[in-house]
Amino acid sequence: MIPKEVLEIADGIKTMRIRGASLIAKSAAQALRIAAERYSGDASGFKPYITKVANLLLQTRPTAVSLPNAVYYVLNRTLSSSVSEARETAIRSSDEFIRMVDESHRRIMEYGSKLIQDEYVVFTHCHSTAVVDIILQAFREGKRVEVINTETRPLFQGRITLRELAKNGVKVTHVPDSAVRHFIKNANIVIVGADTITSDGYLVNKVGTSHLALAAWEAGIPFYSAAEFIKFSPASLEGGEVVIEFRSASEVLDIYPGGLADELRRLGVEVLNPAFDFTPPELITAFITNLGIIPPQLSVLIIKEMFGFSTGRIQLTVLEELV
Amino acid sequence: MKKEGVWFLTAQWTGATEAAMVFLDYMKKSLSQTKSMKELYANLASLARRFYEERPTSALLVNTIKKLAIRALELRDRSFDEALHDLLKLIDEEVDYSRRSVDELAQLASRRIPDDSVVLTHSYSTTVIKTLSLAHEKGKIKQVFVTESRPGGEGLHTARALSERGLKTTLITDSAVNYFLDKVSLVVVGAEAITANGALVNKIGTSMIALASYHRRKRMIVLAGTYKFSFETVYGELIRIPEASLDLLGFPKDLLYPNVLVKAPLMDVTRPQYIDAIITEKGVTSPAGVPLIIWESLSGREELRTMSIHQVLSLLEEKAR
Repeated sequence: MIPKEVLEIADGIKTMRIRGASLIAKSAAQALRIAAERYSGDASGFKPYITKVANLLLQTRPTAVSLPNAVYYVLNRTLSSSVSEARETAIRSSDEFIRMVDESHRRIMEYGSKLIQDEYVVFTHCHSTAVVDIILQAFREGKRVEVINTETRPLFQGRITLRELAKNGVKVTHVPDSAVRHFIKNANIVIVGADTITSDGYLVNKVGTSHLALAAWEAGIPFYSAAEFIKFSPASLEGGEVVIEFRSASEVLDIYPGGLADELRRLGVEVLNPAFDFTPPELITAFITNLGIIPPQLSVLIIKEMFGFSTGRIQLTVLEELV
Repeated sequence: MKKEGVWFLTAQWTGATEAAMVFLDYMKKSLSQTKSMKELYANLASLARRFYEERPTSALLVNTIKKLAIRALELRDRSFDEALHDLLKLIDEEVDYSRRSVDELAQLASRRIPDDSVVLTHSYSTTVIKTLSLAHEKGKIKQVFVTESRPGGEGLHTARALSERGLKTTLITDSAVNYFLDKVSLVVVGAEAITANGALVNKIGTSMIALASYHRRKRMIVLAGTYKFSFETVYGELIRIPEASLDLLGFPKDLLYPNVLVKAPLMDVTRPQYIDAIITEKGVTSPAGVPLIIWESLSGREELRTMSIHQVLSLLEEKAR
């Protein structure tokens, strides 16, 4: 019997009521903790039970990297402990994981803000809580930091970034995505967030990130991505592919008034709307992680340190069954 | 100004060639209503100035204004009837010449498109649409990717035009270009202006596409008749880039904090190094060959070279006073 709260969390992740990598990860760990706490059967039944809960959680959004990272962090430790200690281990490791996520966010803020010098102009894309917090941290330290940010079509997440920075007093210049190369010369540093990072150092992030990286590279401006350990993909170590989500055409077309959008639909014009793109390691100066500033080629270190190499195979096997 | 229809120059769904046609059309109507030389100069000056202010980047517009203005100044000692007749004839000739050049260019360019091409294009260009349609009739095009082309979204108009002509058309956001470049075999764009050093001035986003395609070893060709060459830049004139309004961006007013600046230039500049070829109505050239073509097409028209648009406009305004 799986507790109601656990089912609610699973549903929240599935319907994207719970969104953002950190929140998804923490909620999943929290769900496992609740499931362990409420377990009233005998000790020998606990491991199969928690595995069932883990599978339920994994099925909600199999492509969100932070979710399996949270689930396996708890599950691996639970399954390798003795029968009598399994329940206790599940609770302890869930707490530990949630603490680590919070801790890693604080560290990234601290390390990232050191990269911003006085009078720096930071260029960013889309919306990333880590990036906003890094910039606000530098701003609070008294650095006169300014920001250039993109609208981020099709959903305009750049406007969220704009609001969070502007209401706190940071000066922001807001530009269309097409103007990235035109304005990059006015920036000193690029900092973006991360959706997923592969073991060979590729950054998967909001579509358009690779443009910003390329323009920064051409202009000789350093390009950083702020990424908690939960963004690194152990499955990629085993050759697991990162699947790019394609979203609906109406996200692109709906802002156009009048009959134009309808006409395109009637004509059968295809609209392709990928949510993310790949930025290759050679265009990335470094990742800002909870373990410090690391070059993209060293992504594998984070995977080893935080999850252990063996997690990759387990994650991949289960994910392949699910997707 | 919006009421009279000039607005659609900055609303951007007009390509540069179309914009110049609109200018000539307006000019013809406006000049036909004049009754004296002074009036003729006045109307010519005010309409030329208004169009130039709306779209200072368009080399075709600048060149057309200069041609008309210089002829009008040459006609100052002639009778009003003679001058008017001469200018209206020149306008007709210009319209005719532009149409013919676009056709010739498109024929030539469609030959340069290889079989099984997957083309990426940006913004809206009548020349590009004509060229791709011709290439499609020859069965050379597999698919065309069209960018939305913010701000303005005129890529939607391009997608409509191509789709109506039977091409398999895919619309993507400006940010998704690099993601789809793997599938693209050729990038084809139009031009607002070509400068003396072979750089391309075109809708904002063009230079990002050029950089990405250069980086990915995809060829990029620019379709630009010699009438798109900016003769002024040979003499160091800079091209001023206009910006889109907040309305065009649909920017929410509640985000206009005092410390927020919204910047949306309509054009950017693409380095000649990223351009594989420029196709004109006279033939295919490299960006390095541009000065030669500029010189060639100006032979015998010294005044077109040596006078800047600013000089021409103030001379006209002087005559109108």
